[in-house]
Amino acid sequence: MAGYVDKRQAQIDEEIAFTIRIMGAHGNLQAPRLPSFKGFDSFYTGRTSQFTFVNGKSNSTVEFSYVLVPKVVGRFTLESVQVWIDGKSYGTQPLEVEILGGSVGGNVNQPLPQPALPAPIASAQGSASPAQASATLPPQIVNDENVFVKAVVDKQTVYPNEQVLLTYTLYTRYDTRYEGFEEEPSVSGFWIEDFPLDRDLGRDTVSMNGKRYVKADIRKIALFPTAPAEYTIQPGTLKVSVREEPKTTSMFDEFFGDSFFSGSGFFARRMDRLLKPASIAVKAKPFPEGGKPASFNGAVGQFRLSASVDKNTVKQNEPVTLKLVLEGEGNIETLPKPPVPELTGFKIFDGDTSNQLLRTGDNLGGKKTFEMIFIPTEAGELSIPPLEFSFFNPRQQTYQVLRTQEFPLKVAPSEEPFHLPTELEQKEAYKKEVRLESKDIRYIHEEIPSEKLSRIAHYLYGGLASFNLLGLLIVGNGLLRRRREAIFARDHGLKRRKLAASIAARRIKALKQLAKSQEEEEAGRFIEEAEKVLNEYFSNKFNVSSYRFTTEWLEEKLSEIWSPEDPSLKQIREFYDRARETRFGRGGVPVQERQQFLGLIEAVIRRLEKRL
Amino acid sequence: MRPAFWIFLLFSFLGLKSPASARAESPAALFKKANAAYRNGDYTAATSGYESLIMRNWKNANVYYNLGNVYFKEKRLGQAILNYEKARRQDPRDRDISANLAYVRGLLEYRVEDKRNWYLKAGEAILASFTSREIGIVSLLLGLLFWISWGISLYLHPNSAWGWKRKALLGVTLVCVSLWVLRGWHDVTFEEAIAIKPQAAVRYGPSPKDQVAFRLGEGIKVRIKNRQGEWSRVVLANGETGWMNQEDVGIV
Repeated sequence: MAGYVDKRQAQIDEEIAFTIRIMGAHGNLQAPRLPSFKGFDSFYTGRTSQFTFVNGKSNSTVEFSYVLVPKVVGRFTLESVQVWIDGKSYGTQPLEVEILGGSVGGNVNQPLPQPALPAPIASAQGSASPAQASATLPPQIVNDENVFVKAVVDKQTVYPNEQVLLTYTLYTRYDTRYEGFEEEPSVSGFWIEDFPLDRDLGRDTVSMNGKRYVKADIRKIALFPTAPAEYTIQPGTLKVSVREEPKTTSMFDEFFGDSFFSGSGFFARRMDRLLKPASIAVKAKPFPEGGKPASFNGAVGQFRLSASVDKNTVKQNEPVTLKLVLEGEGNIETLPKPPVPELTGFKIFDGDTSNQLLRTGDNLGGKKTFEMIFIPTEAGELSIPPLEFSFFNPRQQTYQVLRTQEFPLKVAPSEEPFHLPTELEQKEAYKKEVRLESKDIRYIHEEIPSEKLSRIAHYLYGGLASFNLLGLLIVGNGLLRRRREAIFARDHGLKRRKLAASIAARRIKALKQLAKSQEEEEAGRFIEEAEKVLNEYFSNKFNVSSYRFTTEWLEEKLSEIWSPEDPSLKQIREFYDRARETRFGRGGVPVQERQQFLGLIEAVIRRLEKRL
Repeated sequence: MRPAFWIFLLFSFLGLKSPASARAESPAALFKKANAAYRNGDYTAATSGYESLIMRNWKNANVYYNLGNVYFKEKRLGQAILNYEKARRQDPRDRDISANLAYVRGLLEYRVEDKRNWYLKAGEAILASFTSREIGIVSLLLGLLFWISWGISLYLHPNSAWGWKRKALLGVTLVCVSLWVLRGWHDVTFEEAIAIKPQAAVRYGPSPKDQVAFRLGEGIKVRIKNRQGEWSRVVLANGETGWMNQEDVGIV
């Protein structure tokens, strides 16, 4: 939704066109009521609407037009106009307007609104000054013979879609200001169009029951009943602000007439009043059956039809646009498109539609334009036949039929295959939907279920489960190792003690090879290696430096663990003696003895690992 | 005379079956035969064909689906729904199964309003979109990736911190594993069954002497809460409960 003005600068009394554009809304939109634009008179002048397709989406645009007439010099902000559509509020952006000193009518600059500035139509027009401030009490509906509103319709019996003009006329003997509708009229069952009013309210003086009143038409609504029925219109409630100084004598009536809707005494006391006109009954009778044309589709009023095509000579599958214009009086918004008969040799699509609403006297009317796209699928002499539009004329009480002329087309053959025109190809609406004609269960599955797939899934499942278990073990082992390394990093002695057996075990493997060897040289190496293994094991296990390590120290240490009489002690001593002898070249070591020493080393390590 | 005749005669004399007939008919051949019976409108033969496949542990979504179709043609809506449900367990995203199940359910005379909370229904719908094996394979695959990622980090880069990728992998794996566990728990805890007899009596207790609480239309889904002899305690989606003879329901 957006608001626009045709100029940002104007002079006093120079008309400014103010437009409210609403896009994407559907259904019957009523003209937005303007708020009080300080320093301006405002008038509703009508609406236009358009329905188009862009990029496959349908777009509707409705424009409501107003005229703003500046009355004072200065820079003004036209505040946001709020509209409720489908329960949501939308607003226009505020607009800056500058009013300059000159006057198109030669009027002099006017000062800022004074109390009781003329308030022709916009609701809550003008600003309230201290002198005219309304009473703080909420306004109430009153029955006062000095100020009242009559809501009347111009016809009480109509046909569906025939205009009923609902007019609100204010009668008053007070100095009165019209403040707008407090409760909008309830007119369910009708299509509604707000009627553009004249700039001047048409004030008049009338006599009723011996009293003189000033009257003015403050609002007009065009109603179009949607179906034959009996309707009751609830006209709603409107608010006025009055200065309670009724003139009761005819002597003052002439004077009073001059003060109506105009200035008042500066110290006058003003009161808000709610006025509720009586409800109105309207009957919509059915259309007469006699003489009803087959093409009649509910249009009521008085219309003219014209048609044109954009070209008469085309190639096969090239689009031709037929433009139909319906003009006249009636409900332009709801006018149906003239039906197109079944045609061979053409593919037919709807194009854009646009409306323009106009007022002719007390009747609403306007212009509606339809576009239809004809695509000839065959070559040769073709023609778009006359299209028929019929309506019911309520004045003459007859049906009338309008026809377009026939449009001959020369279609040259073309190899170009049919495709939707560019402007239509995105329109999903033109593509037919596939619809189910009946319902039943779907057919059996005839393909043989694959056992292989099931087996693969089975093995995959098993394999993945195994690998997950393996992964868990590997990660668990990694975590344990990391933890052990962290502990060893803190306590190096512990590391030596814990790893003593595994280091010795690795070296014993090599020792076993030497133990089996028959060569003399290997025998010497065996005893040397065996001594190294045992020394390394003891120094690691007792966490001592190899420099500190002696056989006496070892005997003492082992005596603490085992007992001094333990035979292993003697065997270890003998082993070291034998090693010393061998080192100094005194005798070899036979295979059997080597095996005994190997057994001794393994047994000692085993025993110590169990104890420590 | 042809040699085949002599071989046939010899086997007949010896009281043996010929090698061809001795060989059991393959599941694929049985399936084709049952399909042909369905096409020809011989629903009895089709039923026995599909059921013999199931007896031979050839429990496949297509077999259950086709069997559901046969029961539908025989106007046994409860059995049809039961077999469609079994087919859906095996192949939860098959559109034909879902379409036929919805269609046959639409023909039922009775309906039970599901009064459970929306989140229970949504959770069950999500779980029902996958088989237990599918969730399991995805969970195991993600788990394996996670172990590999962690293992590499432990052995090759012991001092590296956990990155967001591994944390995300762990998160997704845990979600999958939770779904897997939930699915297993759901299958074990909420044993689903379908009423397969028309107007089956649901009683206040596990005996024919107990008063009838209500009657259940054919094709209505129930959950079996516990069993006692020939009787099953069932719970409906609207919360009503009672005891049914096990012959009146088919386990999904």
